[in-house]
Amino acid sequence: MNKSVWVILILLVLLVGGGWLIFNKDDSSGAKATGPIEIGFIGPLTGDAASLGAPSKAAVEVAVDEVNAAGGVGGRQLHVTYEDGQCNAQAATNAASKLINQGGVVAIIGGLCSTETAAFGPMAMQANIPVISYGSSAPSLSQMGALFSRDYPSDAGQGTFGAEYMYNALGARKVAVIYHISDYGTGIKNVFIERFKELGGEIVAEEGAEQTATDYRTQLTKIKAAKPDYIYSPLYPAGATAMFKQAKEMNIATKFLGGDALSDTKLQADVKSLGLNIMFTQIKSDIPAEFNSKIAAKTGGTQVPVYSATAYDVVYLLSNALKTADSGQALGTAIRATNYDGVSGHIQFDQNGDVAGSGYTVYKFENGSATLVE
Amino acid sequence: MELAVQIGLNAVIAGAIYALVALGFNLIYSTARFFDVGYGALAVVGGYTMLYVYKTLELPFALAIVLAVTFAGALGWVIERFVYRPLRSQKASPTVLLVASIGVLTVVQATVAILFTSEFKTLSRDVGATRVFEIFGGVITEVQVIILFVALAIMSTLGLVLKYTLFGKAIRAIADDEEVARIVGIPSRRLIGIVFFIGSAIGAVAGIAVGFDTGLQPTVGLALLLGGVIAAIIGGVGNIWGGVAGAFLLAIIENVGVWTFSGEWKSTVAFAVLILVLLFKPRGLFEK
Repeated sequence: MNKSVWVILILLVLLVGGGWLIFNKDDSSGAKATGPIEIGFIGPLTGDAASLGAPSKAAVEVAVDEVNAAGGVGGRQLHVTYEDGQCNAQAATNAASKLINQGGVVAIIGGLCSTETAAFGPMAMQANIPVISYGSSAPSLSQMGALFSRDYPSDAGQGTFGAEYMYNALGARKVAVIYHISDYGTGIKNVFIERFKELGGEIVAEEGAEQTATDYRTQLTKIKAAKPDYIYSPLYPAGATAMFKQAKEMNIATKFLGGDALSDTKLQADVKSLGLNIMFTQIKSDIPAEFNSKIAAKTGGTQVPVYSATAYDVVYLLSNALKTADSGQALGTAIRATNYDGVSGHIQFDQNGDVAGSGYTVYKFENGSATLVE
Repeated sequence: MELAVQIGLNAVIAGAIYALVALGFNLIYSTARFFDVGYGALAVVGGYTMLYVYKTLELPFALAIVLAVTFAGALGWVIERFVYRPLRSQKASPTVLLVASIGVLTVVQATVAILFTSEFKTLSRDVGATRVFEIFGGVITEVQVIILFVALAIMSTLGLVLKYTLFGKAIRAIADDEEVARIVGIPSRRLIGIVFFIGSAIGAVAGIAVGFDTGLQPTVGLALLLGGVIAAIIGGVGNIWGGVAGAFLLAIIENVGVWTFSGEWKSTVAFAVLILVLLFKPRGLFEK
């Protein structure tokens, strides 16, 4: 008897409490029109590309503070919820579902890794929430849909540029490829190989590894035996650290050309002592020095990856779009209509939500950081 | 020739690490009689404790190893004492223990990720300074040579201890039949605790080896565990030497697989072999 009384009491409390919560929530959503505009952010705050994600988050924070200090959008402040996509599909999907279902966001800034964006993108599209990526470059993302845009150019261009640079500027004829099996690695590798063969070059080895792999020895053994002029290595930073270390241990003296993910400053510092010859391609951008020092002051670091600039610009182009549309399809259309000069360059989207980009440049690892080659 | 030598060396190194994992796993499995997934997490704990005491606190190498291995062993003992033992004394089925051990894996892995972030870390203090030896055109690093010898030493010691000491005989008795062992006066509970300590400590050595050889991430435990478990199953679960043989066999198959096909097929080849072995030899190649 006593027990059932307690059970009923607890149920009552839960019912009343729950009812109050729901009622209360209704109240707050009514007040939302004047409250802050909720925006989500997804990026690799931990995991394989954390050292690229953290400065991007810092750049978004800086931009949001600036927009809010200048009065916000139509009198409303921007409020960003930051979620960790960990550069993997599962975490990015969880992050997005939290933002969409609990956060009530009108748009998502992110992700950085193509793996993240490819995973949570369709879910956001279904929920009618525009997504603007500041770093995902997989060519396949161009087919995401009308609500997707990115101010970071597709790798269709980067792979082609890499192949042409290899063949023409570096004079490589026999190239080995080691890549991560992911939206990023596989995407850029396919474009590279196609263009390199078209130019008349030969691919002497093509070795993939899972993004989480830490043992690249067998792949490197095969690559070493194939005696390439150059090794093309579109890898994410964590795997690249292990791969470079093992390449050094196996006495591989061949030079490397990687993709933009190698712009990771932690990676550059970690492999400094190996003394390998490593270069990577990156989008060309004249990012103002004052912007970089602003972000560096926020992160406490010295180097600012290019994703900080693109992430910073996303906040501004999103707040411009929010001036004309609140959410959903209208906001997507307003974003696509962007015509804006940001710190990363001129931003205008084509029918796939891609930016033309201003071409690519090549950097070289030197003394724990990277210097411009040309 | 060069290629074959290098592939062989790669296989031997990978095999040594799998063998260590398989050793600890087998030891725990044959006494406690359940599939301990949490064991993978203890390898990670070993690696990360080493990271903390060796790289952060900068203690001397030998002391750091002892601390890391002891800590992981002690944690293994504590987990057995406060999670698995209460479950076993309530006559929980091996499935319940398996599920509990998945819980242990998740909790430990998440804790490590919170404490150390999930970024990739390597244990070497100076990455470029490793000495490299050349053997018939293939290369092997100093670290890998050490790993190989440590693994062989642990294997032989464990083999000898199990065969010739009173402790070893008691463990084998528990493995055969815990109830009978207890009736004849073997303190099985206390011994199972010790087995968890030793097994976890061996796992920790594997975790530390991986940390020096390639690098650590909190999630590396499950991959390590899978390698060790496949090795143990191929070799015959519960058979210490079978597990070691299975480990080297698995490593050779993986590496030759990557050589013949290409890198992305590594785990596909490994698991295909596992399925084949199970189909034709359900109790492993070297039945107990």
